[in-house]
Amino acid sequence: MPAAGLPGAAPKPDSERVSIERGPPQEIIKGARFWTLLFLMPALGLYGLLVLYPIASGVFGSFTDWSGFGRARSFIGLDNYRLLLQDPLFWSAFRNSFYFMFANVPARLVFALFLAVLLTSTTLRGRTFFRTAIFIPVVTTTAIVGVLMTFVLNPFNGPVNLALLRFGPLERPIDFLGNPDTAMPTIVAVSIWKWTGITLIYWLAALQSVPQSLQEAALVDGANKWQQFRHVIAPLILPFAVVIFLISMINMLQVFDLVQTMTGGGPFFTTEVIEVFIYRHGFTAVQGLPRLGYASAAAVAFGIMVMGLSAVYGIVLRRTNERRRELAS
Amino acid sequence: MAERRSESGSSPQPGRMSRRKFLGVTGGAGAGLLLAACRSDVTPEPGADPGVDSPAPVTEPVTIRWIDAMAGPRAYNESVFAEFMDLHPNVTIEYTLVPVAELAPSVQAFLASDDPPDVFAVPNLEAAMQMINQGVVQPLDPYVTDEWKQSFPPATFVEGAMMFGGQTYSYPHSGTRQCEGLLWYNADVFEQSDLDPDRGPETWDELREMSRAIVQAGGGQAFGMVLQGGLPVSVGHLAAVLATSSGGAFGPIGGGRSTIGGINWHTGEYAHSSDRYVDAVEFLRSLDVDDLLLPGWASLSPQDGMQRLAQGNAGMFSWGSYVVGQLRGGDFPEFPLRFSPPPTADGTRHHLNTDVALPRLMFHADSQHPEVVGELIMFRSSPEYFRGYVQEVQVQPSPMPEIDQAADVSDQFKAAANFFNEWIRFQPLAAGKNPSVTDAVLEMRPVEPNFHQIVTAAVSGQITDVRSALNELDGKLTEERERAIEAVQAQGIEVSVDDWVFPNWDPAQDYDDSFYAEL
Amino acid sequence: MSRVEPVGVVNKTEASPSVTPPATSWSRPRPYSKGTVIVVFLVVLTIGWTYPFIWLVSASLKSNVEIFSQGLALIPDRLAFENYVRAWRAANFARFLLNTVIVASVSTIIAVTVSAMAGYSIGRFRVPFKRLLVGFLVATLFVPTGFTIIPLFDVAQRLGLTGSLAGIILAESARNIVLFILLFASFFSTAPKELEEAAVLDGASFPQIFFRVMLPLSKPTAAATAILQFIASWNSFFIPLVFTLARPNLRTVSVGMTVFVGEYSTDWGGMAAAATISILPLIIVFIVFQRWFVEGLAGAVKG
Repeated sequence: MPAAGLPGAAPKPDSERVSIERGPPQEIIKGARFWTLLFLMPALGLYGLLVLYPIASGVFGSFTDWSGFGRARSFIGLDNYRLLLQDPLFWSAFRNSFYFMFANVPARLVFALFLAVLLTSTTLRGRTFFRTAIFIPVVTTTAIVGVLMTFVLNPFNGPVNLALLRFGPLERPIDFLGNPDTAMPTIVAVSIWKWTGITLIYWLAALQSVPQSLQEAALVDGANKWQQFRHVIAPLILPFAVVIFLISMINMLQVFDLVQTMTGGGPFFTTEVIEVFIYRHGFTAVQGLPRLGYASAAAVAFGIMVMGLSAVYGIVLRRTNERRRELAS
Repeated sequence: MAERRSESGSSPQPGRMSRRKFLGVTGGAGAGLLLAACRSDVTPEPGADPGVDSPAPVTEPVTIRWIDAMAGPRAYNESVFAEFMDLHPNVTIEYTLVPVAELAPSVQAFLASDDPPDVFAVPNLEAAMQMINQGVVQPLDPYVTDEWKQSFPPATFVEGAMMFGGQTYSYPHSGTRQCEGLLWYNADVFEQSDLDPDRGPETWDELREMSRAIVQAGGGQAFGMVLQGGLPVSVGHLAAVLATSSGGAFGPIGGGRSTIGGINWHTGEYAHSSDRYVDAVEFLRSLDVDDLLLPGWASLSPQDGMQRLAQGNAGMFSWGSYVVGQLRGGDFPEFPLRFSPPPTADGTRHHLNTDVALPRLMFHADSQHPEVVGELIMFRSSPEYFRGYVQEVQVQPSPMPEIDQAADVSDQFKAAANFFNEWIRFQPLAAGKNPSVTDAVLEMRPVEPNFHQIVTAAVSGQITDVRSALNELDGKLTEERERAIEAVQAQGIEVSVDDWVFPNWDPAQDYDDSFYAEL
Repeated sequence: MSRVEPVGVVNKTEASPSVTPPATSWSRPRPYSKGTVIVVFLVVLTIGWTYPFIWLVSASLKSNVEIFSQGLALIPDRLAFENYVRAWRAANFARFLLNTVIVASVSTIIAVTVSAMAGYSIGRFRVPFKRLLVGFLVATLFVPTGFTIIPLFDVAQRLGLTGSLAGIILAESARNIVLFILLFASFFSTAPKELEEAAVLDGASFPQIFFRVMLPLSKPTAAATAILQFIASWNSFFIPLVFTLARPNLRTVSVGMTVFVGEYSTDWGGMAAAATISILPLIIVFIVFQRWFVEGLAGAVKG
């Protein structure tokens, strides 16, 4: 199972691997074996009952035809998967999810890092104010953000369009959420706005971990700001970066509320990400019965594909690291 | 992967719960039937005014849980329930409204719960059929009176819709003859645009010309019409109503479900791609191309659209009769709202066809107090209830046309109700001809993109060749229906495509028992 | 004005001279210090960034009619405080707010503690079938979870948890637990083992070592997971919706918000007021704790 070591392997492959294999401290602590298992129990209980069981139940459900309304589920084997792989809208949702993730995560991480660097400046006044301002969208309920944005971005009398028409080069208002060309970029932009604050907090923390003395030493040695960042700060915050990237990636692949409230996946499926696809099939009855089995199959298939891609990525990363180490030595 | 599979295989199967629940069901239903049997033997009550003296008065405290998704008549329903509780002090009614958009997951969760509601809303006909098939709900017959059933107009309880296997499973919660796609306009905007404020457009061309006049007079602040593209079903309804009113089209007007509607009953074939539909979509598209529609319509909800109409940013707006009631209750500026029948292509109006009354509120098989629920259902659907419902809420017509006529309602609501009565006729129901059609319909999987999605995308220009898109839809639906029929036939059930053919169908008449008898 | 150079400030104008000559006109005359440029940039950014929020607050003071009729104007014609009254009363908001605070706080405490304990075990000790366990954890991390709501509800119900907030709290606690366990495991696996050796010499037992030495050491991970969990459960909609269908008293703010959306109309003013009410406590919490967040996240290295 190549995927197993991935998140461990990705952050800090070297040190971590070494410390796990180099005789863990169980020999020296009394009753470690007992306590270890005891410490695992609550998490395993929660995980088993409220994560694994529902997923397992969904995996089972993916082989059935079930609306959630009836008492009986009929077993239909791999039919759901067969239909799913032939469903162009599933593949479109798959693409949209990845488009969303790749458009959001790198841009947000870089932008938040830039802000974090500005906001760590000790001479800057009102840091708390700026941090709070950037953080506000994070604490605003996602459903409200969706509603709010439909007003703010409204092509008729919406403030953004009015401002663009009045002060900008625009001649016709832009239907940001109704136009298939702008809908997805708009959602991406709003999602960056919504979640930059949380990334900012992580970057601020990461920067705090860089000792001041090192930074000053670099400047004394004649490095400019960029060189200082590149050679002193960047390497030290890299482990944070990997974790932040991983968290953001997983969160963004499972985006739901924001898309659902802003466009509901429209216009004409252009913003339908996988969770919206799953919701539409499993939990709406606009066109007949909900299809929980089909929705479950979509979730399972998507999960397996993401795992596969991550495994490939993990292998490539490890190979590259090994190659680099070989070259270095 | 190997670990995953073994894990899921050994996991407790969800079927276990169903079995446990099933025991409860049979027990409860059995007891209920016994009670009912006693009751109907002893007291055939005149049911005109139920609840005043309940037979075999129940004295122990009873809690009835009632789940609906309608937010419009909330206050009125609450007052009616309060009245019932006054008459029956031992009864407590827990009335829960869930957001319309979350009705399906709510019903799923309620049905999975140990403590299911007594009465609950089902999202559509397919859901009702499946629940009946699998014993989730029970018939009303043992707990309601014949008088109550007869208080509804003829052709209310039709086999394959409200009735299955001769048993009654639901009843109308509002008028059956109704549709969306009505035209509402703001007379002030008409006046400001030098248009006759007492007259809406009668033809498509007139609608276009009026829109043009409004845009010209509006100076960028008023547009001819606003559509609600955020709710594709609404745009689909509008196109269907425009097409069907103009003749030669067969509309998915009632439920709008792609698996059931859109059939030419003479041939039994799917007919979404008929010329009239294409014409109607191209007409709406031309409004968009000519900038006669309010910008941003593609992502607007109907609620936003109504605000735009009320604010005078749009001269015309299309939706159901709810517009009237909503303007009374909502927070809108004062304006003269006017009703106009949907315009036709050439000024000749044809009838619209909708389904007969379909199930919405259903009676859970596990209900502990079926006889109380029966009383409550009769109380909450008496002519008095509907009179109050129409007058207080003015959202939808009642199932009893004479009540709408006599009710003290606004002229505009009355105009809409009159239009419904005059121009809407019931279409045939394939399950009415052969009840086994139900199995085939349940076997059918939805075809995507559906009619509404295609129409909305075509009107906004995202789909350029609407004819071929609708053709493809008809092709896929036909294929899916054939597959479903074959799958059902393989189980030994007798269904054929002919069950969808009604050679004696007349769009201008209700397809009632006499037509079925002729077949 | 010539104070010590602000530390850690990236500035393009500073970096560019070494690469290319400063040809652009705007960088030549420099009457303003870099600090001023940064402040101006941040102020402009902040205005744009918080505009939607300001719009929300302004909408919460407008009538529904005015929300639609006004474009850029943020000052209401007449302050419609009745929106707040309506939001507070109609939506039973005090109750919802209390529920939300309880769900978010308790689930944060549970999720962080439980995953820290498990992460300590997995990251630092020999656990039977560790690879298999981690494999399962990772596998479930990638599966979208929206479709599991019905089985989730079923489990909570069989455990008898749906009658109180406990069901929502546990379901929320479990939501991100896999990610948290892996984060803690990764953190603990890198901590120097001398820490435990010293503690054992002092006679500390396993739980003492964890709660007194290791857990405080993991402040950065704990703070990160706490923020994520708190915000996720504060915003959560689907789980509380399904769990509270039959029990309106247990609703959280995000579910309570649906009261304003009718089938035929939406009370935008009331909704905006409710949203503003629900955001304010979080902003206050943030202002008070942001230093703690940030320093907590980085605490280990600094301290």
